Amino acid sequence: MNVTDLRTSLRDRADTVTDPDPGARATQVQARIRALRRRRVTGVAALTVGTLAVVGTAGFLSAREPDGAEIAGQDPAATTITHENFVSHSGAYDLIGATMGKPGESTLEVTIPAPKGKVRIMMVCYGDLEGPDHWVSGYTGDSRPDRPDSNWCGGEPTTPVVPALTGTAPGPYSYDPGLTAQPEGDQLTVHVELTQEVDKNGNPIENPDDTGTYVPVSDPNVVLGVGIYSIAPPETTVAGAEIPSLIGLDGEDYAYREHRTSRLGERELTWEIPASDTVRHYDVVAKDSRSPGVTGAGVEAVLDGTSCRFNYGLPTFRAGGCLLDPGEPHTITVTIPEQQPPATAELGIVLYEKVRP
Amino acid sequence: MSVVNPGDTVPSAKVVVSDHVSFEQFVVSRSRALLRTAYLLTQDRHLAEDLVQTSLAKWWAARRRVTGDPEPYVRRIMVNEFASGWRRRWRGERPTAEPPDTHGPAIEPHTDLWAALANLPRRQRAVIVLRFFDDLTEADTAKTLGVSVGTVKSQTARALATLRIDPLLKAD
Repeated sequence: MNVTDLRTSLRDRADTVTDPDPGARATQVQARIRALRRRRVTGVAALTVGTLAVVGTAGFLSAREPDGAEIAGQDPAATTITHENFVSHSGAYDLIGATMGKPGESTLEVTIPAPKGKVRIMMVCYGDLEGPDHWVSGYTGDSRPDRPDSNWCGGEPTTPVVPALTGTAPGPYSYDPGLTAQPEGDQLTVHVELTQEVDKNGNPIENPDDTGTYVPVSDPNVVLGVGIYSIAPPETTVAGAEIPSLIGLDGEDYAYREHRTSRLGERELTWEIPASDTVRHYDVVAKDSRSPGVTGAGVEAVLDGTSCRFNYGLPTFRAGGCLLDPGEPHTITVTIPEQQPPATAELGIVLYEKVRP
Repeated sequence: MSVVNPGDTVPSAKVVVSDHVSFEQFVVSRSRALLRTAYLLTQDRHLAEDLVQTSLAKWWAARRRVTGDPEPYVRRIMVNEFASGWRRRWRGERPTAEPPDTHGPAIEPHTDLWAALANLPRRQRAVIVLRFFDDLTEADTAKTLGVSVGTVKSQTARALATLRIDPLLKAD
């Protein structure tokens, strides 16, 4: 195969896409915008109330930092702290420490009282960077691992960091859900530093799919930051996936209510959900939904026969579905395309309910 | 539904983009081209539709900061949304494996390429689509993805090498 074949194949594939009514798309996008605006207004209002409450009660503690960066941390048992670069709360996540460095500072170190459970560490790195790709690397504890958790540096963020919901476009500064850690001892120390990934010869690795060693570097324009979130313990387990008691969607919390699972090896799960007067949301969960060597479409989930149809690529996942309108019953059907899925295959549907303010 | 899907009908509302082109005019005239790119990225008609609508909605939110032709901006949103883990992120999936699994039974040549593309990491797939379907230059591809030209070169080379050595394509 050559590049000409590749171009032809791509064009042939694209030509199979029919688009009979683009005018309907404009209408659909407008409706989506209206829904987003409604949710955003509600989310901002909720965040403002939370901020006022926190400002009145927060007692900040000091944390050591090597480069003079301002540190804001707090007893994790108390109310969450506030920080303009990190949301204070989202679902199961509560901000317990955060700081932003000054331009040119290449390392940050934050120590806070360790919460009982796991933490999620969100790193920020942005600026008018010089040279090839830079990475922000983070780790906990006293010694630097060979391969710390890392993200690309990017453009200056325009919205606060939301834990486990990163990668805004364009100009993302973080591409993954962050580093999850289980603190040991009474204190948690998080290190964040500007790094460059190099190969065994010391040459920078430009391809993010290659792997090498992360070495510290400096850049006069870079700004680093870190936010540390406590994670509430999971509510239950469904098809092998931990289910949080709360999830955050567009600034609002949804609480776990109930779930359904299929029998092992079954290829379909249908749940007829009675009407409710509150907005609900569902997650789709699957385990071992594809036999080894099988290609093609993944698990499909459909709402009410035709709506919110999604195909999930991974054989094992926990994935978000859609919002359920109040005042009407709904039917969710999850199907494995294989006629004979693995005997260990399991499907699940998890229902959340919007938390009333 | 708060999430609107293909086939749903909702009341229409004019959203003015600028003095020269309305939101509706832009969507009607250009979204098919966006949909074609989105389909090559997602390899799923429904996901492609959702990706296009997500990108258009994001553009609308930022439209006052966008000057000139909005299409490059929308395309940039779309490609970065996809490359940065769109859907996988929104749906809470964890990247325990890159979908789909590889090496099924023998299939048609074009399907072979289609399956081989699916095996590429998202960013490499995005580079391939931008360079060889949208015919962007390396510089424009780098600008769209927010990476260096060197990264585009290396990603392109790696992706092409992967496609050439993919067992599904050996018969060619």
